[in-house]
Amino acid sequence: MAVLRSLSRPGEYRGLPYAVAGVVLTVPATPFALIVGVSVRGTTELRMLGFLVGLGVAMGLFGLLAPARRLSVWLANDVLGARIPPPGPARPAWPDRLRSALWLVVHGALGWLLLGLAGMTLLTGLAGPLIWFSGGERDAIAFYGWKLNIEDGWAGSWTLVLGLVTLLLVAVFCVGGTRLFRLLAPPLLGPSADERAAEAEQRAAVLAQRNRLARELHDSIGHTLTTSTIQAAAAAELIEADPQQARRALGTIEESSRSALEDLDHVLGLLREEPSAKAPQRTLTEIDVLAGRARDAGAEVDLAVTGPLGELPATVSREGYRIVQEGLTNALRHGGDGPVVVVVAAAAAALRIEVVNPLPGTGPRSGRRGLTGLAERVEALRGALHAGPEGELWRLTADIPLRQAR
Amino acid sequence: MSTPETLSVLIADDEPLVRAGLRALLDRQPDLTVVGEAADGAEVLDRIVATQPDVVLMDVRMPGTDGITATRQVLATLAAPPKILVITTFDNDDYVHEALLAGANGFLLKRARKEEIAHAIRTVAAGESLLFPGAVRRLLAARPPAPATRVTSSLTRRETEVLRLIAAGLSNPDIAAELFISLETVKTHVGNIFTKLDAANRAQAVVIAYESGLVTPGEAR
Repeated sequence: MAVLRSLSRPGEYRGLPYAVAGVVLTVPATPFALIVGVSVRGTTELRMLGFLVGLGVAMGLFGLLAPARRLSVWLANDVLGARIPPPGPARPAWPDRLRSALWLVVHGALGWLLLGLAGMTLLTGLAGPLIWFSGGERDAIAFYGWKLNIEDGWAGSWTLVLGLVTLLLVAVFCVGGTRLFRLLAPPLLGPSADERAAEAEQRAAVLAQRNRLARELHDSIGHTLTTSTIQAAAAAELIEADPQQARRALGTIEESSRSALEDLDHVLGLLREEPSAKAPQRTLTEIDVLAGRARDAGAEVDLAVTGPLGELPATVSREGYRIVQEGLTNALRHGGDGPVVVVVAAAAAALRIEVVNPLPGTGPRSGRRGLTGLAERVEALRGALHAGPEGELWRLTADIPLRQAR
Repeated sequence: MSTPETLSVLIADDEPLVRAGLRALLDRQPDLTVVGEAADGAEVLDRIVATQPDVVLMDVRMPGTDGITATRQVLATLAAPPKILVITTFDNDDYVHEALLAGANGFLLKRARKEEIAHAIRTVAAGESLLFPGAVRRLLAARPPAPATRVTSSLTRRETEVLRLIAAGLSNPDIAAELFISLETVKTHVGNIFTKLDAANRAQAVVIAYESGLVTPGEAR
């Protein structure tokens, strides 16, 4: 009964289009396989074997390419209806590429097998009734020396039954193929233990960050705004009877609003730091774009880059980008007139970044909360970040050692 | 001590600005007078003994001794404790829930309007009905349901009914009118409910009732 029920579910036939996709995927590999097959000396069987091996090897090589996994997962989810979490933005590691390669081979092989079996069965099943309709035939079915006549009239009606049975058989093949694909896909296409660990870590980091934000908001801003509210109510109450105390209350509102804004600045800083899986992480290789954007915003930027930025470890390069970004942002927001000098020097042992801009003639020169988060992360890379006034200039420097950072 | 017409209030909050602001607000109310302040939960008991307030406005989160501990101390030590009204920054605070379980009579947001604050103090001082039943329901609805405990199963059907009406914020005369029974009968039921649930007041009884699943937060009116 369970078998019959599954035969009636359309979703159980998704293996069929998926098999077609597998067959189509083998097409680009056939020229290579043909060359292998033709160059084999020996019997036809041996040449066939050579062709198949060549096909498998070519498919495997395709599967090793970086995009193969993403494509395979997409196909499996969309066409087959598997539920495999899509791989992250990182380039796949070699063990994962091997798994994808193996899957591509399995996909192609099973695809051919299923289409071949289903097709042949269907042809056989339909041939009988067709011959019967057209008047019967002697030795209509020949199968390894075993022959069968199809007579005209009622005597040949058994071909109809055979046709129905083969149709049922084709359905069973399709459902079985779907099941088999769905069984094999997750171990070969799903996330590896490392990837799962990385994802869990990411989720935990996001969660911890959110909790931290909630706590910050609760403790700082909620608290300060509450005080302001009470003081404002008190001031309104006292304004005629005790103007002096009302004035004091207004003063405290001013103070607490100011400190609430500072807290907000801090919390927004945390929010910007929030690890995001989706946003592409920029690296120092895009520093030209960054400088260009700062120029568009009205800054005069002198950019001096030395060393191979493309060879920096990704974490260092991303952090470097953020440091320059923060430096330029601060220069634009708080700096005085004059050029912003940005130096990025990648040497063998260390990466050095400097952002130097003139200080404004007047106004506040402290309280750049964004730098705190940067400094923490630079420290995590065993580096050091310094920022402060130097004569008439504001200088931000970061040194990140390279070998240890890897 | 307060005269019969005025209610005396003690303010316990670690933040001097909050204390000063609340004092200024409450002192302007003709029937309320602030008789003292405490900056820490540890001071509360002494201040109560010294000033004999009718109602204590108790901040839940204080460094040192928090409002929950202070509430427990007060209720365990004094024979005739004042009513305790918990004040809080946010109403989804776990501390508030604990404070109510510890026996506080109600809770109030610090950002409430002055009329609301005054109303809360009067309601809690009168002790005749649950303060802000809607807010209590929201507070408890936001919490995961606790498995039913044995305490509530010992309530009679009538007592359960009375408890539901308490949770909905009805006073004893209202309950009597609602159930067509005498005020004396209601008082007897309420007394029995408190005894069976080991509750000191309406708020605690309601929290226990919600917690035990006897009253579901969506059910009360």
